[in-house]
Amino acid sequence: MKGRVLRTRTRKAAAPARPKPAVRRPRRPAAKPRAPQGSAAARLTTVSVPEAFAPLFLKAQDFVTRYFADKVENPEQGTISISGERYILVRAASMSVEFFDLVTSLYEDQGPEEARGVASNLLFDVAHAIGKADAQAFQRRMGLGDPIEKLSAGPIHFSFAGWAYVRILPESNPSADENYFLIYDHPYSFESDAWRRRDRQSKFPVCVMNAGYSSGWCEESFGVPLVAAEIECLAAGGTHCRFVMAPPSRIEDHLRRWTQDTSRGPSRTGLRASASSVSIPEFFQRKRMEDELRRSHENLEQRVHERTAALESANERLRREIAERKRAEEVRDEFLSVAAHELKTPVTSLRGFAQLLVRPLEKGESLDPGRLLQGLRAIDQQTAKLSRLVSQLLDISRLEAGRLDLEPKPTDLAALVQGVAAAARAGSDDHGFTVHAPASLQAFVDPLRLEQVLMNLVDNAIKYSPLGSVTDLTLREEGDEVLIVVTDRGIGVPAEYRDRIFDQFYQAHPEDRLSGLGLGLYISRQIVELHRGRLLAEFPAEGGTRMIVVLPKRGPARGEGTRR
Amino acid sequence: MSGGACILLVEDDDSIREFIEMALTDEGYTVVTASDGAAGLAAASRASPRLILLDMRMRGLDGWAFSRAYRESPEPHAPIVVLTAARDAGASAAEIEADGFLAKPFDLDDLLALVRRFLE
Repeated sequence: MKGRVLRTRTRKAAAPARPKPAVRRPRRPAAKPRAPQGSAAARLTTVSVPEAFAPLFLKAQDFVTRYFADKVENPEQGTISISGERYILVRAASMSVEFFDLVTSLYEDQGPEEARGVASNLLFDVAHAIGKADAQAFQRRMGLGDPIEKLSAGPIHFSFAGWAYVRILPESNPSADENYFLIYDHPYSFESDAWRRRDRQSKFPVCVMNAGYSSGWCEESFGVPLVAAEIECLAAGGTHCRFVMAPPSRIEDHLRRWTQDTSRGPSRTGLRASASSVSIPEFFQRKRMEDELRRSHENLEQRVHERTAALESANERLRREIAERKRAEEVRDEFLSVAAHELKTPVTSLRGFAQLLVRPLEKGESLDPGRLLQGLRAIDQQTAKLSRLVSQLLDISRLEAGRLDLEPKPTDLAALVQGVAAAARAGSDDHGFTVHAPASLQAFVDPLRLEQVLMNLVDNAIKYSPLGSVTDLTLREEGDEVLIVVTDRGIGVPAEYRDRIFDQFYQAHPEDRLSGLGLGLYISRQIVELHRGRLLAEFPAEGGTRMIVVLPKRGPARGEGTRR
Repeated sequence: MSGGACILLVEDDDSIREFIEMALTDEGYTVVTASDGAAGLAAASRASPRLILLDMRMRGLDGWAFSRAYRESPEPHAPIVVLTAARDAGASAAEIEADGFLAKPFDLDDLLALVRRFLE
């Protein structure tokens, strides 16, 4: 049986040891040569089960033995009471061979097959109902909860009530689900016995009530619909009465398997040759149909439920997608309008100054050298501004296409930082720059891209710092990482915007319209991350902004970039 | 040429402000400049311009806020011409019920022609 280590008693050990068809003295143990003296299996005389179950069944045997010991027959009132429960005695033959004969005579015109079907169905249903009712009564009386415990009293009650002695075979798997399977023998079934006492051989298995009762008891014990069929019958020339029990939907599979199995000895009658000769009462079909109907109904409900849930989640997903797209569109619209403004502004100046210089020349007038210088300077500055914007847009489109490639090489970061500070000083007379760096610090980076990042950080520092303030650039090693820290004393970033400053198109100070596409920090962080580094922002309590570039000294793999 | 009519130019870009001022001054106009809406309002009330050239997207008080505040002021109001880099310059102008507009970048001759139309 499932999950238990079993040493099965062979049929040789059990069957011959039980010669008496009637149990007159239930307390007297039958001889069981293989079973160790005093063991649970040795004391278990009213049922035969795989050894692991013996203790449980022994408990049931003790209970049922005591139960039947309290028997009061009172013919003056017409009662038989066992432990206060009324019982009735019925002649076994009247519920088997004689019943079949009666029904056959009633159904003479419809043939023996029809008669057999009617009789089988009636007996099976009656016995199934009795089995269920008995199981319920015993479970209440014994106060049992576990399915196997509930099952245990069944075969013993069966034995005491004179129906049959039960031998449960080790291939059984009594689990409370679809996989429930029980295979068992009734060596002294009252039904086959009744036929044999008349010297009648049946063409079909006759132990219909035994099958009905045992499956009824087990159905009640395990809480799953169960049916049983006899696959070999003493009355039909078999060597014993053997049954399989399973849920209605599985019974035919098991029948096929067990009626084709020849491993249990060579001497088999025609009964075990094929499943078709095994009696499957209509009851099974009905049960199975009910079963399938119930399952398909459950399936349908389940499927409707699943489909509804799937639709709801699809709807939710769509709603989210629409909202996201709408948000993305808004961001894109805003970006396009910012980009239009940012690009058109320098172009407006370029065109304006160019035309301003051209106009007098076209009219043949002379051009004031001061104005020429002023105009050309403006054109130069605006061209540089435009070029920076175009570079940013190109970077963004490369990043989005996954084609921003690094060209890392051994680089002296100290020289690079000094160079950035020098360029910043040259570009802004109004701001100071200090550098704290070792004389030299080698790392493997893309120098142009890293310079772009530092220039962006320094530009931001200038843009958001008061005139005359000093921005500090620090370069230092920490383990196998290099840190470049740009600290300004500017306006900082309000706490509520801080987690968004690296977002695409995001400007922390939109109300100021301090120009730019909102791409600088986004691109910078992408470049640093392509170096397998990190770009962090800190906002010291004393004010200002501290941007920290953390780079691994060994840098990215050669040729690393966003190219996929 | 135009009797030195006063024009107020509200524009936050230094370079654009610079060349427009030079071009208009060359034409004989008196040009007052402001680099945002707030400075523009102060200049308007001080100089009583006959025409206002207004950028829309500016730091601080922008073109929308400027025009609203300007029109609420008690002085007689000069026409406003919008100079904007917005994708739809006409729509921007309509939003503030401007009297005219010019999309950036523009032709200097177009600017001068527009100014002349308002001041003659």
